[in-house]
Amino acid sequence: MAEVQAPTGQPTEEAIQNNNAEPTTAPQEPPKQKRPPRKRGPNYAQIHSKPLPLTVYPLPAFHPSNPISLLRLCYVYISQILSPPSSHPARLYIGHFDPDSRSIHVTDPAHVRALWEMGFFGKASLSRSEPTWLEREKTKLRDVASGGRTAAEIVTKQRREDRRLFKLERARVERERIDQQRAVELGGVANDGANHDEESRLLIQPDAQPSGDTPGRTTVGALESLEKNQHVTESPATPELPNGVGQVVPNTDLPTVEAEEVLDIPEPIIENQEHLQLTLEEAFFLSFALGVLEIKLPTNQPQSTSPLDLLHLFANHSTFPPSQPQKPRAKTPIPSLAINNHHLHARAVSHAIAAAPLVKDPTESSLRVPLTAKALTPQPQTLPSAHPQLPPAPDSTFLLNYVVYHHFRSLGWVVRPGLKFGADYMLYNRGPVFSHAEFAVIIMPAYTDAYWSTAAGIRERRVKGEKDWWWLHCVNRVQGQVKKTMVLVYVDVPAPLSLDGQRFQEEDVTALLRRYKVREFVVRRWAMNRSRD
Amino acid sequence: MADADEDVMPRSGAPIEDIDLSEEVQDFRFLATATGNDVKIPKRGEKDFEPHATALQSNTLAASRQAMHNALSFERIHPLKLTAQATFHPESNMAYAYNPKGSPLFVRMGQVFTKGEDPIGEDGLRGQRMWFLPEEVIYLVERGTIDLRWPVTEDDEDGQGLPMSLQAAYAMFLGEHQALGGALTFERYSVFSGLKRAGYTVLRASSFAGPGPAPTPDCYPQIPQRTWQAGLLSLAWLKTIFISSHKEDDSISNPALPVPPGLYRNYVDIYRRLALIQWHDPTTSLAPTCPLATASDNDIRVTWEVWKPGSSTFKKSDHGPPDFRIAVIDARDTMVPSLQQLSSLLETEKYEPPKTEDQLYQKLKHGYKNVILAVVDQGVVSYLRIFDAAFGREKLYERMDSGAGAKRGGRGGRGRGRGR
Repeated sequence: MAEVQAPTGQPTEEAIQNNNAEPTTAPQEPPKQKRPPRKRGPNYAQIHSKPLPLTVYPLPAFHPSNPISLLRLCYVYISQILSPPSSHPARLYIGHFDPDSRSIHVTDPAHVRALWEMGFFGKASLSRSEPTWLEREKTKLRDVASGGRTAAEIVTKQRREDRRLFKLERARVERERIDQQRAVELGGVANDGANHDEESRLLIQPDAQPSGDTPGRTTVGALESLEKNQHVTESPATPELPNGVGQVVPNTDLPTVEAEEVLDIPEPIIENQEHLQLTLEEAFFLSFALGVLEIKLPTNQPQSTSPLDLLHLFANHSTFPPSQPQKPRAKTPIPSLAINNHHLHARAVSHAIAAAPLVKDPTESSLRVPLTAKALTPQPQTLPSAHPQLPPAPDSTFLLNYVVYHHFRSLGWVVRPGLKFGADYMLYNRGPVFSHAEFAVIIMPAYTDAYWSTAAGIRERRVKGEKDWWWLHCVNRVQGQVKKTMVLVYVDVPAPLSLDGQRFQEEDVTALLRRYKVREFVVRRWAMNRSRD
Repeated sequence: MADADEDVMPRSGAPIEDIDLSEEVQDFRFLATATGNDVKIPKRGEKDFEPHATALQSNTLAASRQAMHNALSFERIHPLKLTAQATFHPESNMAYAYNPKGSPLFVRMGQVFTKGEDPIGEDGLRGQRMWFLPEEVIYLVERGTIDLRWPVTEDDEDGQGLPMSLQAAYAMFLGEHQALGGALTFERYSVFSGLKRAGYTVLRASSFAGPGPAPTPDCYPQIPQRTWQAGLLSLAWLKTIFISSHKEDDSISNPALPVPPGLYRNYVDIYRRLALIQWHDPTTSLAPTCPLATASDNDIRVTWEVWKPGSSTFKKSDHGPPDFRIAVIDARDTMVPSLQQLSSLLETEKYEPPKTEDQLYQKLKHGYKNVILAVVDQGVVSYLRIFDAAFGREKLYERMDSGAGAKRGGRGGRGRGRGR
């Protein structure tokens, strides 16, 4: 794990690997072989110095020994009273709601850059997460080495290529060794000395360190070629996971950029086809909690984007297909399935699934997945135009996810979607570029309120089944393999607001959020054999 | 690099905490090197994944197999004078032995009852009579440490009862548990024997057979005493003088929004305004949070109290606090616990806050209370440790920039005056 709490000027990951590699390769490498000078990576601490897309204006420090600092303090203070700058951006960032992908698209490159840099919001649509598509295209077109900044994807590709080559080489070496051993056994007494060496080394295997940190002795001379920048495991090599390879320097094969070459090639002109996609929770946080994002709905809809309307819109779109704007909650909306012209009522299907004793609930727990091969009756893209009278269901997927998102964001964590690791969210200390996520968050709704034990409450619960132990152990294993800590977050769902005939105003979104309660549990495996002392 | 998580490969095989050597078949050749007092657990060797058709490989395999056969064919002997004889007592579903010797196990197992508790009553031998609980009996019979007999009847010739087979022991102590009012199930026994074999000392918890006693005061945080001197010294009153209500300086256009447009001087203020969601704080809960209601069948209760093998504080007369508390759960009958189950289980745990000098991640992972769940699936046991973490107490934004927000000359009280 990259353990960086970055001071300024922290180099990138490959530089970190270089640092790890250097002290141990130094005794091995012939001193005359010079490595090409390392590129300094981008200064992440400076780029991502703001944790949120708001600017703060701290007053300058006052030093009693220096009277001029008092003057400066007064000047700044008074100028801020006379013409107060705003922490919010002058023009709000603009996002477009896209019902097909149920996300918010941000297209203006300046906004994309700002939202990514200040808080790591969103995911670029053509890149891994940081919007680097344009840069990579330019690099490809120019066909030179990556210039000042290296994109994450290029580094990854290079690293994978190197690892593949290393694996091939290691397999070849292993095969040669086995062939040699066989030849020796069949051939007779010629290499008895070497044989004994090998056998005895194999028998004393307890001392063999599988980790590639210490340089291993090799039997075959051809392995010297591998040692330019890499570490090799012990000679009885196994197809175990390549642990020494992580320290391969990806920059060695890339030709260094000479400044003269770059000037000759004009900058290719490409239109940026990438946009930033914000999930519904991120967009709601930016627009409601921070107030820096303005969300535009598709043009054929009236443009009412108060927080309450947005809440309804997002809550409806958190399931697929999106549910209609709510009438009184007699029953939950059910899409109609049509399989071979027989209409299967989704409620019957969901009952059948829920009644099975050992059901494995998918994480989202939404049993309204259409099973049909024929297209569903196309739902008109209606967005709530008038203020509906009912707030969204308190245990809707969007609200639960948003409550947890808001809770961890308000504590200072950088919260990113955890789909890659089978969790709901990943928590980063400062951001993905600085360190690996330490916590993986799984959201579990909890119905402790008295209302949910009544007959009406039981009927209206969205999450009817419970998760089983196999699912929990699966997720725990996955998190253990990727070295993250699993956090089970129980969200205490309040009873639905009773309809008193009042219309809900904007304050009510805050009041709605205040009704939830969150409790976190860290789940780890307990090893019996390791806790004896 | 952004999202470099995807390419994380484990550094050296499986992560350290997942290498459980007891789950793998060990190479018996290491037994030969394991003589003496300082025995190191051998590290994992290297695997060959396919046959190479070399004599070297097959010789190594044959040597390992032979070592295993040698180890397993060692003959176990039970010397007569070291075997304790125990007698089954049907009424209480336990067994008793008189002054059992011959195994260091007896130091930590079994108990001698006082006059009032002894099921047989006071006869001269009460002080030497050691009683064993059902799970202890089965374990000792399996190991061969005791020789268990049925109660003496008049048909017996030599005055001793008939020997009880292991099958009969299982039938009496596990099978009859419900009829005789016990609470030992096969799952609980699996956990017990696994832990005993690993060397731990395992005793029944007070909630073994039903809801235990109410949570004791050490399950809750201590309230510090507030005296007026402490209040004066904390400089909290300075706050009211110096801190101008600068929050109202911002032009609040919309009071309903958490962070309305305006001027903010630091990120800490912004984060404080964003705190809308309530979170459970274990340091302030002085009473059961979720209504503890009546004890229902689907409550999870602590079954075993476990002490470490090397624990010097354990004495039979005075146990001391256990090192671990384990709740046994059947994986086939229950689901992942709900919030009520978990919170009522953790109510009975001791309150152990993390040390203040710990790092952030250690504090979060240490939590304030913890319990171990042993999930048993038809004999396969998996242990999960649940910590009650409070993310809300470790506010990341206060650690964010040590330099920028701290010194603002002439404003506000001391750091303590800000109030927590």
